[in-house]
Amino acid sequence: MTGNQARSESLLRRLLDETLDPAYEQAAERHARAPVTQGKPRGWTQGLLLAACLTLIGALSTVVISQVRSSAPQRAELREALIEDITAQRAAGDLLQERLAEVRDEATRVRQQLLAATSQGQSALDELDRAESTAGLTAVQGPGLLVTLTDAPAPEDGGDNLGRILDRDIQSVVNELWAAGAEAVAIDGQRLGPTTSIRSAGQAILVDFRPITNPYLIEAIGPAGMFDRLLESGAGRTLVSYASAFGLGLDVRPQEQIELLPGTGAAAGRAEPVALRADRREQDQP
Amino acid sequence: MKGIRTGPLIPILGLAAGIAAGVWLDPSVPTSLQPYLPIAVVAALDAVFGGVRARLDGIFDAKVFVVSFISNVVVAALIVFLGDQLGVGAQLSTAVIVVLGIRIFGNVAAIRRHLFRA
Repeated sequence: MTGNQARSESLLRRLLDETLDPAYEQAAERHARAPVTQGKPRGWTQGLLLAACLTLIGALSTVVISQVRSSAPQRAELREALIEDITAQRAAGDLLQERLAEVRDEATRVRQQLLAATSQGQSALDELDRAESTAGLTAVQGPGLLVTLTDAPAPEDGGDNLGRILDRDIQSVVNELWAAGAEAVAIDGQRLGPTTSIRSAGQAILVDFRPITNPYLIEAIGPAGMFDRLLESGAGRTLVSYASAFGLGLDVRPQEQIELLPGTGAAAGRAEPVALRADRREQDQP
Repeated sequence: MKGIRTGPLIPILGLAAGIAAGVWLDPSVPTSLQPYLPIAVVAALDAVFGGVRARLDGIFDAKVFVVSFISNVVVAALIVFLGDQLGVGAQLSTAVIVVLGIRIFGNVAAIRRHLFRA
């Protein structure tokens, strides 16, 4: 046996054997050597201290026990309240979204009426329509592709599911669709705009901060060649190999008619159109 | 032996008074102190069982008990606090609980030997 082993064993042994604070024995030895002659006063203060300590211990234990007991249901309540909050806020958000769509429709209608009157207005209107459809702000329809990505079934031994769809799988499919000439793309019915993000947060995949769930439907309107170009692309091949290796579902079907809802669009915070700024500068200078 | 100075009445009365105070007053604990309380209670339990055993061994000393109780609680809380600052709070709490648990077990076994001679 090496010295280290012996030492570590003796440390364990000491921990197991010397359970009583050695201070008690030392104090007893001290008393035996020099018997204390102080009488009652010391005994009384020590008794009082002892009682105070034990009072403290009793109070401490009771407080901790009652606290642990009361905090468990509190946590469940808190969780319920948070879930309610989330549902309510999401409903409120949906309502606002609907309202926004209505107002935007109204604005578009009025704009159309006003601009269609002149030829200059008409050309501006055409430009606006093009810009809006590229930004994903108008409802569109046309032929395209429906890509369905499905998680592989969870393994029976409860291990990690390697065939789960990740945010980057969806990102790569969408990127390849754009590269293959897609004009409008939506994931689970949510239209993608110029600034849409596809990310994961924990186990969930979020498109513009809204969770989407398995199976993931990616719809794209675009030219007929999209089908071949997607499957021959790097991302397409990778996904096909994943599908055979890990069992995730990949299904690509050409569609004759796809209808996509308008997206919410990105609210520009700091950016403003260049022409407008130039106008303003002219106004500023007298 | 000079050790035994107080009867068992005072400590038991104190403990009962503390429990009663805790139940009736139900004081609220500041949130910043809450993580340290369970550890402090285990440390206090260690001191109590050590005291009972020392009494049965005939070497109980109130001063040693008070000092060991206070230092136990403070050191245990301090270790957990330090662990929290270093990001290993859970592991250090486990370490403290294991060591105190072993000591409590040992002392309870000694108390049992005293009381039942087995």
